[in-house]
Amino acid sequence: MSKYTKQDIIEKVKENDVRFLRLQFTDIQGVMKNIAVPVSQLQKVLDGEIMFDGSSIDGFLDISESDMYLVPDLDTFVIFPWRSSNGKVARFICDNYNPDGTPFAGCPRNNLKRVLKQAQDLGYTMNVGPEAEFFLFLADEKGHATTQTQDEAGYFDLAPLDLGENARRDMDTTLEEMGFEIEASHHEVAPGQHEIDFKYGDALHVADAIMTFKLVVRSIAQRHGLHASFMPKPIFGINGSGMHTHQSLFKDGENCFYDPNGEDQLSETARSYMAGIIKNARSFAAITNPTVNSYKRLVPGYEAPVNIAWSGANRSCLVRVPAKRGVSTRIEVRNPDPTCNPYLAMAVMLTAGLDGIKNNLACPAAVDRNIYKMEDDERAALGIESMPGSLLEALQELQKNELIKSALGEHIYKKFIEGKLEEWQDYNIQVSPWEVAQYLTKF
Amino acid sequence: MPKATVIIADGKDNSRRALKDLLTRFGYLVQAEARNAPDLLRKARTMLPDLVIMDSNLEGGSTQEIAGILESDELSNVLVLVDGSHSRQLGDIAHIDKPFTEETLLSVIEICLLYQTRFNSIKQEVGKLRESLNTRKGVEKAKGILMKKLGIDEPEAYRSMQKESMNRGISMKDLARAIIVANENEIIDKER
Repeated sequence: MSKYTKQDIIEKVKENDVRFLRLQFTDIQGVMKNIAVPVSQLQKVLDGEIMFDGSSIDGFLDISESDMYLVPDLDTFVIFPWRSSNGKVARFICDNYNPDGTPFAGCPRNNLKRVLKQAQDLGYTMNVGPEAEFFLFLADEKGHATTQTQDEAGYFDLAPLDLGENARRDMDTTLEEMGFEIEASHHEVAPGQHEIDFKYGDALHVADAIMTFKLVVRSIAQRHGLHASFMPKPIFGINGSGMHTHQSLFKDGENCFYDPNGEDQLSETARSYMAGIIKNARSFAAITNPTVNSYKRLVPGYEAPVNIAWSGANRSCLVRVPAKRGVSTRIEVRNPDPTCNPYLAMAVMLTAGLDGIKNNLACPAAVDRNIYKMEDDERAALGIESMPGSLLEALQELQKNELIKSALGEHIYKKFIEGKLEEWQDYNIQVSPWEVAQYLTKF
Repeated sequence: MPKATVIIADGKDNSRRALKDLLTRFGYLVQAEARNAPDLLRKARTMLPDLVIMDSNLEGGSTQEIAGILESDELSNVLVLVDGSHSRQLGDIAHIDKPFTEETLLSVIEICLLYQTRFNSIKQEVGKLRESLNTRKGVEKAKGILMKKLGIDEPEAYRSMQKESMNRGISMKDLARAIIVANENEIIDKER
């Protein structure tokens, strides 16, 4: 059932004196794009008649076939609580459609819908609860980011208040005004690092929410003279930022991961789903951890998962099963980071989990010891594999896995691999400060 | 007691020093100096000065954007000192063009603060009025619900609400809201 009708939206726009509409969508890289139109275009927007040039978006289309329509999801209508200098702004999240009225295959949101439909055909809905971490850095005189966190910025001793805490509180209230239910909001392990968790929901709308969340966090940080970064590992030697993704499957309103009589009260469905995640983790890493920098976070010692195993409490594993049972029974996949495209990340994780369920995969035994401290042969004996060590390795793994490729669809897969290989090449030919420091004077 | 608290935002050390001297001489308290826009936003957020005096060439954000944030988040009143060339774009933001005499600047500052005081008292008044209007609306609606449900007339509905409010020790506004919510829930239950 839809929350809003077209008429509702026309009224809301009028009531709140909205001046501009932002039509948002997410490109394959996971970057939010938007087209702003004046409110006079509202009817056209609602009718899905707004067109744009798809060839100007990375990884979308070639110049020869560039027309694309934006069809808004009316339920995603929201008025930004902050004012810009031009008056109030409202947004819609949109799907991309081809001129012939078919869903565009290169649109990650369309693709997630396609994959969710496959789960639905088996009777499942996917629920997701993300925990996105980010850093708040000081913005410099040009308004650009630095890697200086305000926590250690001693020069600001005029005010004992924590700038970051203030900014985060403002983010919480803004998100709440936009309809988010904030479940937790706190300072994280590293200086300047924060986490805000919001209530779980169906995969599609949570993916939307993640994109909105990032936009809000960045915008509010800027209004506080700070810069918010979701980069996975901005600073060597301290914890990086992840986006642990809690997930469960529901059927007819019941949580299918819960079985009061099962071992650990987990159902066979939950175990097979986990088995599927574990089996395919190396292949979907390129999607859930899609940047060169992502793999600087996936190293031992900073609470980031390196080892492909599961456990109840052990945070060195890829998958953790939080203690909550009943309707809250879920698994927490710990490798994704906030640079991932949430639409693609959910599509691949769901496909991996369903692979386990459809093929009745057996789940390996839980590993309740700290894997960071195990010897290599000990890990090998338990059959514990490691996540890819670099973006390149992850891309090679993805290229080998037809199932995960199918979760992306041909168009997205092709453009994704192309773009990412290029990114890797570009990184690879750089001469880093580390190399200069190591070799310049030594040889 | 200083006349008012001020944050000065200007990228040039000399300009900041001159302005600070002037303001201090005339009884203002310069709480902080900011060199750029993010710096200004951070300081204004924690100090909430009466007035921010900012140079139009401040780096790190457009003047309109920064002044807009300061005013819409109610962090401070803003006065922009403009380098002639782009004063027209500032529209409804308080500003004066350079060069100006000390006397001009001081009187503009006084006017800014004076209007701020007036504006604040009007804002408070509007807030009170809105509050009582909302209470009134709620009470009207709740009264209507009671009249329909209990088949009583308006004065009786009002009296019973007054009585209930006294007995339970809650405001008329909260009571009205409770009645409305209870009624909505009943409708939802029926629809199921």
